[in-house]
Amino acid sequence: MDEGLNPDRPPGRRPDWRSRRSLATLGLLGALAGTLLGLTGLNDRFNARRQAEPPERVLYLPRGDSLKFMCLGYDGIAADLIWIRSVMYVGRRMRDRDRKYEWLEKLYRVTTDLDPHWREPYRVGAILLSALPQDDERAMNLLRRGLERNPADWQMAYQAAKLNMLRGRNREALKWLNLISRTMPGHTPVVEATATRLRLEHHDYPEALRGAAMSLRSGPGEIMRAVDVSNYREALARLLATDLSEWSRRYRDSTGHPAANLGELLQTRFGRAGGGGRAASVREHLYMRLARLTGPEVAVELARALPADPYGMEFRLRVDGEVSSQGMDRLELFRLIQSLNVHLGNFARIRGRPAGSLDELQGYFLDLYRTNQLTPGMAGLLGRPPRLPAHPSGDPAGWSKVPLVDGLLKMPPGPTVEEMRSAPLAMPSGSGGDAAGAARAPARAGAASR
Amino acid sequence: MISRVLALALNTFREAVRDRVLYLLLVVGLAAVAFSRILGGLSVGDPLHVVADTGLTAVSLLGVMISIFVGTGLIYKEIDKRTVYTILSKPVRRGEFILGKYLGLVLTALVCMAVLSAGFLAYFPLQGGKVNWPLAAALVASMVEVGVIISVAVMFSSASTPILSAVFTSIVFAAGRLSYWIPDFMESLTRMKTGGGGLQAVLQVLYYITPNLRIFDLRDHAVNAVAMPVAGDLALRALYGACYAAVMLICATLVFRRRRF
Repeated sequence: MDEGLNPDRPPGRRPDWRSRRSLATLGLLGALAGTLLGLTGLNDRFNARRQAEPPERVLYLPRGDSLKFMCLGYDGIAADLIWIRSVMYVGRRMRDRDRKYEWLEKLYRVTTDLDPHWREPYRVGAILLSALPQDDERAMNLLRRGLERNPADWQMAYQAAKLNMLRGRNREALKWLNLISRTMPGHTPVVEATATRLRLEHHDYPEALRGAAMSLRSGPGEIMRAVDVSNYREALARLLATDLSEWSRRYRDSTGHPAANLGELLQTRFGRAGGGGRAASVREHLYMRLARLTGPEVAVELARALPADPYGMEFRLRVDGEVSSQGMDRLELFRLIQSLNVHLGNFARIRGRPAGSLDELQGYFLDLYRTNQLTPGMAGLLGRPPRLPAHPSGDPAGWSKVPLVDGLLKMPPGPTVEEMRSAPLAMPSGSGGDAAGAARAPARAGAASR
Repeated sequence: MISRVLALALNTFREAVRDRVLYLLLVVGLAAVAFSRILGGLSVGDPLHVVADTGLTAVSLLGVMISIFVGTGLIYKEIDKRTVYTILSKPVRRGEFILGKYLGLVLTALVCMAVLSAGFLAYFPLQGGKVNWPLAAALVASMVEVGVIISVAVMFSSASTPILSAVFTSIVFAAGRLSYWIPDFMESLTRMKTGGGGLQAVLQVLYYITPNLRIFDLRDHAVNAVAMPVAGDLALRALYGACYAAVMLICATLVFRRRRF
């Protein structure tokens, strides 16, 4: 209705129905604003209540196989959503004081049941289960289940090995690494290098040498090659020292006196264990053993180089009849000196003067022990009560030959660590052939062996 | 005959693309694909797994929705609006009518799925993913699956009302997605020595008459890098889909021929 058509309405005033409509609109807008405010408040209230709820109520989940049935084949997206839920669950529980993760394993189980070939939940789930609730058994079970469903996934087995290594269960870790080596092609050279390291720690030198040789033969990248070469040298040095010690004992048992020197020992002929076959010299016996581990062409070079050790130094026949690698001993001495120098530095800082002798350092260690200040790292190196570690050469007067200059130990004269680690050595190469690219043993060592 | 079927198919396509539900489904699908990046960001490890899963699921669900919501009313609408009289009064056989309707809807669904797939395949590399053969094969397999579901929808649509057709098609879809469980269930029954021979026979029949839709699910191969089946195996799966659709269309024709207008 037009306002000009109403003769009763005074001019300049709005009709009643319009003002009523405006009022109604205002009222509605007010109600809308009020309702919205109320909704916001209620929403916050519900959200706060939900957050305060124990996760058991929030996290009710059916079993994976039941859920698979309900998803009608869209189990992949369901697995993704539950995986994201597990991430949120971890985030939320990490903020809690008690940090309980009692539903974490179930979330991973449901995720992996829904999408059994998705590798991430097994790997990441095992890390989190092991790190947060520190439930190693469940972490390992998750990985085992993952490997049952994805038998070729070496990364999962490597994860299992790493978890065991973190907990100091190296023997168990080695089993997983061996499983990868034997049954899972396509793994990176890191696996072999780690396995070799663990074998060395467990004194399984033949397998360590075989692994390192195999790894070198596979032609690893530049960085891994340096690791493999280092492992190869150490495995070879330790294997030969152990074997030569064994032959030295056999020599003493058969002759009644120790060998005069290593040259004599290497020339001595022994029959095979068990009495069969023709007698062969110790050098030939060692060649046959090395040939099985590194290949015949490399083995012949290595055997010819004896008594040179893999570090460009020589094996040494001790007075007790044991054989050690001078290179290994020197490297070990280098490591010990580095550790002890840290403590000598601390001594100088605390006492305000450098140590005058190693006896003073020993006294300092004992003081720390008595006052309960010995750290676990120091206790690992020195023992309880602390004692200076034995000299690697086995010489009781060995430490007296190490010079102490300005309160710090210095390496005795001889080749540097770098020189020892780059000493020429016959080793398998990546081109396939055993001797291809093999560095020639030093002429000095060859001459000595001849 | 082919020209008549093609004319019917093209008209069905033109009619279907005018349906606004189609565009709504497509927009929802595209939004889901775009949203997958956020979901992937919340995940730990491999966010691309979530993006790929969401994309493949969106394409498959879009096709299934179109089959059920558009397919089930396809024949009924023609009867209800009496346009079927105009068509059948011309020299068009009932079988040709059914086939034309089916092909028209398959074309509609394929175009929609292709648009969403193209969106997904363009979006996936932007997130750092790699478009490869298994991913493309999984998308194509979804399309074959939709072809089978549409044939079921057309069959029910020729015999019943849209609501009942939608219900029956949904049941067949669910049964088809889960039919691979039937042999396991029968084995459990045998092991537990429960369920007589009658139940076993019913389950056996059910297993053979429901479409085995699981064979068109190549998600695991595309997303988790599980080795793809060989080309011959994929061709056999496609042949299975074609045969099943043919059986459904023959049934639809038989039912439609008995209807009197």
